[in-house]
Amino acid sequence: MQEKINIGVVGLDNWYHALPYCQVLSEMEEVEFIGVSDESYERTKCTAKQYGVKKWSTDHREIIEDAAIDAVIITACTNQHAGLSELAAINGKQVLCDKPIEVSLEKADSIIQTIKKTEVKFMMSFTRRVKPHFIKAKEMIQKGKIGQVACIMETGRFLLPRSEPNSEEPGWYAEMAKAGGGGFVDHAVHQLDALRWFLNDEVEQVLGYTSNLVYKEIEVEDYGIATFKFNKGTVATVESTWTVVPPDAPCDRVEIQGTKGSITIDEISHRTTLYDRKGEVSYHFPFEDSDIFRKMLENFVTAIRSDRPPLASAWDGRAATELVLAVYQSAKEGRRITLPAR
Amino acid sequence: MSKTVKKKIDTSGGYGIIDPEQEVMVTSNDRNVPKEGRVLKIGIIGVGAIAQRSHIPNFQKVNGAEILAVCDPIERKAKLVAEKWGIKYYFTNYKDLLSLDELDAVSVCTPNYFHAPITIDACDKGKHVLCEKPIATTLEDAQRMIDAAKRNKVKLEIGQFKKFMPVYEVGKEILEEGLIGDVLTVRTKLGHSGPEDWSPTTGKWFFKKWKTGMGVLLDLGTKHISLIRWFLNDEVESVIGRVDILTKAFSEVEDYAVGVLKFRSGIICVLETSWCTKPSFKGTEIVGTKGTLFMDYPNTRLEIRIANKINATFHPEIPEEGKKGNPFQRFVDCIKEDRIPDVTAEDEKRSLEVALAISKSSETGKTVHLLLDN
Repeated sequence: MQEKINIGVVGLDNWYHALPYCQVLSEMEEVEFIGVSDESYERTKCTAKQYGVKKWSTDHREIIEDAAIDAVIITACTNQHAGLSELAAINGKQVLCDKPIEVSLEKADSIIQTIKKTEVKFMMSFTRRVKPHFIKAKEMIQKGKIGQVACIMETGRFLLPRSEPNSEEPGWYAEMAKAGGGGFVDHAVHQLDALRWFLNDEVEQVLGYTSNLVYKEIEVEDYGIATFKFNKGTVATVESTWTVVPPDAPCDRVEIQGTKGSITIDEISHRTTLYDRKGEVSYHFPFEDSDIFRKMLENFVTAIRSDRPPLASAWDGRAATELVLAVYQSAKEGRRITLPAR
Repeated sequence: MSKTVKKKIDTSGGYGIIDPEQEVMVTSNDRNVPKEGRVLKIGIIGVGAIAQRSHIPNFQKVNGAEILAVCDPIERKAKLVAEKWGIKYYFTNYKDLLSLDELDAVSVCTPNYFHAPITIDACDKGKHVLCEKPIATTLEDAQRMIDAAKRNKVKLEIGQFKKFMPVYEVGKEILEEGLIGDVLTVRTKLGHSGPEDWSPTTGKWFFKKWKTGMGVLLDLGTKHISLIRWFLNDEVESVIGRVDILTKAFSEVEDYAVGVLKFRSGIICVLETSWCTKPSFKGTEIVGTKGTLFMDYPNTRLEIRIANKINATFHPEIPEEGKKGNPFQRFVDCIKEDRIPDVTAEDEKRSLEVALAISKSSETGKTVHLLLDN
């Protein structure tokens, strides 16, 4: 039997991802959850206790530089991703990095250069790539079930995030310096990564608009919408917001129109439907959120143990962030951005 | 049935096309509805799909009006339709139709480019006009139509009748009752597989730029632009947009468009309109501070999801018929009662302006600010 991979979780800021990763780490056979760090003493201590983690610290370096650690999951706030993942890479640790990759392209490029030099594995936490209803849609597109993809509309309406499970405040999620943006970047990186993944294509032009519709006092946008023209011709529109209330929140849908039919994905009900000349076929995939994080970790483990690249690379992370930044620039300047913008 | 036939060679430049024999799609069962009071005499200019599917059967149905004449540059087509529907005269030149003294009003059912010249000529002949949507292909044309109606003191209505649909009447009531709170965003979409499927024999003009002005944005886009402006009681301040030819390489005009409309109140509306959508789609979602309203999504129905103690979802009943009734009856009545038409040309000029702005944003890559005041 292969030895277990020792994993540390670095930063609990994005607890929406960090906590399920912790949960799955504590359950999985192939890994050992041996360290956790976060700037908050209480949060780190409680998390370590809850999941039976031996080593915990309020100093990320204590975990990253620990010789016993093989790999780290970076779930600190976005503007720390470069510093922490590069430190990990320099120390020879494999990295699973939360989305978005960073707050700027310069910092994303810095990550890419460091992981090239250090030859560690780096995987972006783009969870849609392991979700069965998204995989189903990608398969249908690849098999030509709907012909050429003409246009895509992604609608993502979410609640304002909370800085901690029992907080009412958005905290760092609404701080420009730490998050690099607000209601648009938060989920649009997922939506945009899925687009690139579905289409195997890159964006040529971006036209976007952002606003503060409900939360006017925060320094980041709570609403964003943008249209993307891909090299091969597809036009995709992505709406991503923090402005919707229950019971319509969250609302997360993808509608893909092709020359021979269309596909809709309802992320919330885990349902993918194909409409074509023959009619309508719907596929439902019952799963728990934790299953998704388990699949992400399984993919990460496989990548570490084999020569297989992880399912989403640092380049994928950079590409999604490049698109989001182009949307912000487009919204600010009131003009279309042609990529690469810089 | 007695029928007088007038015909002349068309000298005005044709506006209809192709295969007249396959044109008749609707049978005229309602021809003999009794007319009360003074009977308005109506002329139909252009007898393509929209005339045969909507204008002719609807005017046959209403009280107080009858169709006196039809006109189409293809003689066989004009004749065939006149015979099918028991209409007294047919013409190949609309100017001859307009010179019928007993004619009170006309329906303009031609390709978009001809809306303005024919409407203006009709107004100048003292005829009331119901003009198919979109109002025109340019704002200048739209204004000339408005001016012509004004100076001749005739009614000019645009056939943009979505707001007569019961589902939207109920939806607007729900909005105005405040059930979903203040509106934040709107998402609206309307698409089908293209005019060549909707109107296989006569739909080809839709792809000719000089006849159609723009593609799906004018054909379908203006419908929902008009609808959303009406829902929100608000006007568009600025737009960004993208129009494209995605699947119909033979087309001179766009088959797909996305517009992001920023209203003066700050509300954002995402409009998606398509001629490359199989199966067809339509739907409008209005997101408010207290809930979300879905209309026509995915079928003709209404759904409200409201955030409250029970986070309930409701499906209000939609009556069979709208409160305002048949828009063609309303047009006839507005002439008789000297009322302002339900869908004014001024109103539809604004919808046209939004569509043009989306196209301009796509062309220039810039945010376009709208100019119309008030």
